[in-house]
Amino acid sequence: MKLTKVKIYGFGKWIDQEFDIATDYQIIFGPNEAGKTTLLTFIKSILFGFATNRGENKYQQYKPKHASRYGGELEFFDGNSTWTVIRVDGKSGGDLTLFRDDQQVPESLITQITGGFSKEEYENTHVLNDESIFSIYKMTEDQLETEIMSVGAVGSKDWLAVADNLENDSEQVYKSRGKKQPLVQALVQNQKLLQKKASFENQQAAYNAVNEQLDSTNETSKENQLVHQKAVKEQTDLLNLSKKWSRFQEYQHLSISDTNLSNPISTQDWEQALRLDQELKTINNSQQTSDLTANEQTYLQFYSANKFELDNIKNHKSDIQQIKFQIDNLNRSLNNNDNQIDQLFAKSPQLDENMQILTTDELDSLKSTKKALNTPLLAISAAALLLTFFMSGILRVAAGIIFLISIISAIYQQKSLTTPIDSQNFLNKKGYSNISIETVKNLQPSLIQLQQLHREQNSLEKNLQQQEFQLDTWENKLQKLNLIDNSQDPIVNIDNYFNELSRIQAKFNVINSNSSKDEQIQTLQQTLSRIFNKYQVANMDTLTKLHSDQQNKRNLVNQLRADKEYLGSDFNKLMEFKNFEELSNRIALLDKKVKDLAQTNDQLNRQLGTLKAKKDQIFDDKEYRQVVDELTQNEADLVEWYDEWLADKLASNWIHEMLNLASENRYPKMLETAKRYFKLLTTENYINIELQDNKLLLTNRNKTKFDVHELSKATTVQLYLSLRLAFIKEISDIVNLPILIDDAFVDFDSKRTENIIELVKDISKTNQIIYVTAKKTIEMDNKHILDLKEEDHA
Amino acid sequence: MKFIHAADLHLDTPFSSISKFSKQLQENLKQSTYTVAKKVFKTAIDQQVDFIILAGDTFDDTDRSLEAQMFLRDEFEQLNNFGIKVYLIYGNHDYFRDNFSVINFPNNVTVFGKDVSTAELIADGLHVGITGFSYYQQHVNQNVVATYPSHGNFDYQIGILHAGVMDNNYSPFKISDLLSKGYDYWALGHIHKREILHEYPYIIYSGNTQGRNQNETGIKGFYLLEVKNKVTTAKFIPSSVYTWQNKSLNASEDETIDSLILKIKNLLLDKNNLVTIDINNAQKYAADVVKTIDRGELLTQFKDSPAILYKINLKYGRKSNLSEIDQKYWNESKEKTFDLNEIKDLDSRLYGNEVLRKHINQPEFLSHMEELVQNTINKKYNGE
Repeated sequence: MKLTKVKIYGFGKWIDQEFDIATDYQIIFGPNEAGKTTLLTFIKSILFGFATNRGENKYQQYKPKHASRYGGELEFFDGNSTWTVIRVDGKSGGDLTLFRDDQQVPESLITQITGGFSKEEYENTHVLNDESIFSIYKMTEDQLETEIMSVGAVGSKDWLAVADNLENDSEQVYKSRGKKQPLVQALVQNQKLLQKKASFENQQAAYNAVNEQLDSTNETSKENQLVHQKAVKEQTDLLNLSKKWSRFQEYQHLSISDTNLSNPISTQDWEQALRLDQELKTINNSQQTSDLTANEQTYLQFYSANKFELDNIKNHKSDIQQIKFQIDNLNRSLNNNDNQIDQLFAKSPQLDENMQILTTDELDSLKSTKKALNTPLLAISAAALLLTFFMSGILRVAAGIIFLISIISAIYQQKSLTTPIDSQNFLNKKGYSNISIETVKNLQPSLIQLQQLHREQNSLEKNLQQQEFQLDTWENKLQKLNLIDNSQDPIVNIDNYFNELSRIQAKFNVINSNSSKDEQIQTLQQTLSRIFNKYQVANMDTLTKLHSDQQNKRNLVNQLRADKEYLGSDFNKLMEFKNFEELSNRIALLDKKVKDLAQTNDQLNRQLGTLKAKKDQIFDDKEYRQVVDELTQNEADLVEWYDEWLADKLASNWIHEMLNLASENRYPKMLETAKRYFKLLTTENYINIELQDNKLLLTNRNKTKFDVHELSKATTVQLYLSLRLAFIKEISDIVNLPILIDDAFVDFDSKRTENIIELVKDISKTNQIIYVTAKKTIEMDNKHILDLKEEDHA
Repeated sequence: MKFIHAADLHLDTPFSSISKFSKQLQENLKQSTYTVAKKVFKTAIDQQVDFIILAGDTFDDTDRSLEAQMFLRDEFEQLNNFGIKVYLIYGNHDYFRDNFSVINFPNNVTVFGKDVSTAELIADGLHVGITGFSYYQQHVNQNVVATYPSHGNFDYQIGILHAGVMDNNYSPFKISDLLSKGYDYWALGHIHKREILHEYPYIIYSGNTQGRNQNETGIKGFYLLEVKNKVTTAKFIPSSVYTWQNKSLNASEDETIDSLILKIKNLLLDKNNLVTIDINNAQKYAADVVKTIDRGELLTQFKDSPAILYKINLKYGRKSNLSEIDQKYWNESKEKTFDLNEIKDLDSRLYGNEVLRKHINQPEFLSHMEELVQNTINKKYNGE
């Protein structure tokens, strides 16, 4: 496609200008500031769009300052048709209109002219200016080699830069030995999280295990509690036994003695014997006591006056004795009970009479009780308060805020703790103050025991009262009858009274008897002897002794009976022990056992608590979920970073692959052309270019071969130019745009410039060339020169 | 007779990239698989179905599923109160291991074992046979369908199967394999996108009940089946509480942040939708617009919109029909660049990671990478 006409509406300093362009080569000559470069920019802009006003580009816009229209036309000829490209001001690069032989065609057909090139690609291949030449001079040897080797593809220099950039980007994401790169860190994090996740026990297995442990511990705890209760009961029983030991011993001791009454003296015989003996003594003393004294008479009179009451007392003498006996017994039991209560208090020092047994509900409510004060929070608030005094400025304000927040939250927390305070209230009401909840719980069994003992005590006291009341009644009766001498046992009083009475009665009988003294004595002695005979005794003294023996035996039997009653069913138990030491040892052993069992009990309760907490914890998934959430995010991050890394890497690889492939394919043909150009540019100093192992080898006219970096800079630039131009020729079947040369060779000497002009002429056979220069040489054909003068534009 | 076919409930599914959402929304998302499951069971009660089929992957993960198990037990007990039976198989996610099921389900629930077996029931006067099996390992490579019995002496026979068509890891099958059994209905699980593979008889993937990530777009749910006079009708019941959506925008040169926010707002109109937006031709944007998007600053701008903006993807095109000249070299070098084995060999540490290895071995990996690389090149070449 050849450019035939340039028509400018307005572009930079150019307004309403028209130029015809030669289809082989066109030299545009003009001094500096003549608008040569603007003209070339105009051609690029109409073809590929105006520069946008962003960044550096805005200097390429060339919006005319004095014209109303921006843009213009280019006319191309493809051998058959004339193409007109019109571009005027408009959105994104300007409004394009395209005509083929005066027929408007879709703007997308512009590719028929541009070959699908972008502005950048066009500039990289077809535009040569001093800038692109100078950049070659500035390159290092390696850069130059790469540059030369990559001439085979469009825009390869830019592509290589992009590939480098991508490689660099990929290393920002991941390096195999890196530490800080995000993908490396995500990998490390992944390992950590996986380990953390693995450290969690299998939830289901843990649940099963804890359930099993709970069941078995519960079982053990129940068993232990039973054993403990049994032991406590045994302990109490043994303690009671130990208290009965002295009575038991007494009983055993007494039970050895003979209690056998072979021929018991009947009360009637005994009283008769007493009376007879009395009468006998009275008769024997009758000289002195012929009459009853006034006292004795009063005595008899009192008796006959109160006969009923006095006989009643006499008949109930054994009952009174029984009552007294009972009272003694009851007092002893009460004493025993008191001892047990004392013991209970000794065992649990915190125990208090005011404490009441807690209900099951109350006990349950104690379990949820938590501690009352948030000490750390209060400490923070205190510290913050202190700081407000010592700090200044913002710090002081901050400390003040912290103080407020912490004190408010402490108060708030305190408020939310009303439930425990409630339970504290009922504890206070029930007599438990300043005691730990654990102790409160532990005191409950002792409290139950205490209650039991108090109940027993009450019933004993009631019983005692009754007995004492009965005794009182009897004593009152005795009192009324003046039978009582306070210092004496009533029984003794009664005995004394009736002994005296029978003496007086005997005396009275003697006095009132009609028979002679001897007869009387005889009769009395006979009767008395009969009684003595009956009981096989010789005289009154032995009878009295027998009677008192018998009485003692009876007392003994009573005592044994009372002991037996007191010992009750414990008797057989006491029988199991040989001695008190054995019992004491047994108690000591039990004490230890009870203590051990209580300890085990506590331990099991603690275990149960721990297990329940553990079970709750198994259900609490927060930590695990946290790890899973983090892992999910980490996996997403891993994939995202990896994709980014790999995309950079593969993009870079792809670019290199593409460039290599392009070079490999194009170089052989390109070299043929380049060889010719190189020969021309070096004035036949170099005659050959070869490609060996992806490297160029240059041959000079002496057949010496050189590497690229053995060449001088100037020669290298000539080689580069040869390759560039050869490449343009190589792709000209696809893209045939004019080559724009903008004063690219200002520093060339005249011989070299001459060579260039020759080369331009050569190339223009296949590719149109527009050559802009401020230097005219004689080799230039005037027909091909467009001379720009100052007055050509406004 | 009525029954429900649901699959892939994935209880306890975690969600990624939601940390920028409000705490409430994060919590709701985490709870969504449960909320949806409740919908399924409520529908069963409201519709008075005879039974429910759960075709695998009811649990997302069985390592820690006590909460899910207790939840299901309670729900199943409720169903039992209404005389609704449950037929459940385990899939590749909840394959039976370590005796994980420690909570006993009520007796209206039938859990299929490792080997194919058939449960029977009478529903609406019909003698129904339900055949299925559970995964006892993560991958089932053998053709288990071959061991399913042919249609037995039932009025209606259903096959439950957790599998992928010709997918060698997940009990591979062909549709013709299923048809050859002569069953009246096939309740499939495993594929999260619902699909009716066959009609007369129906072979249906019910899909999952709640989308779990940006790739599982659209409304999710389950099927309500009704059998009348031996004819089965299938009705899709939506259940997802959050719906993933994919929308796209075309970039223009004169876009500003403000105008872009307005455009995005117009894409966020559906309540409880999680929207991913692809912006095509992002090379047209000015640098500051691209920077704002890349920094994720836009994501927080739509708190009041009914839908939730999940992610913005910038897609770069080429400025013009660039370098047709070298296109053939691009094409020719592509195969060499996108060589899966070479990608695997690029870095042993990366390929050694299980997550990345799985990612690389996904069937769509290379095409996904190609798109990404193209995007990267376009972005770079347009002069970043």
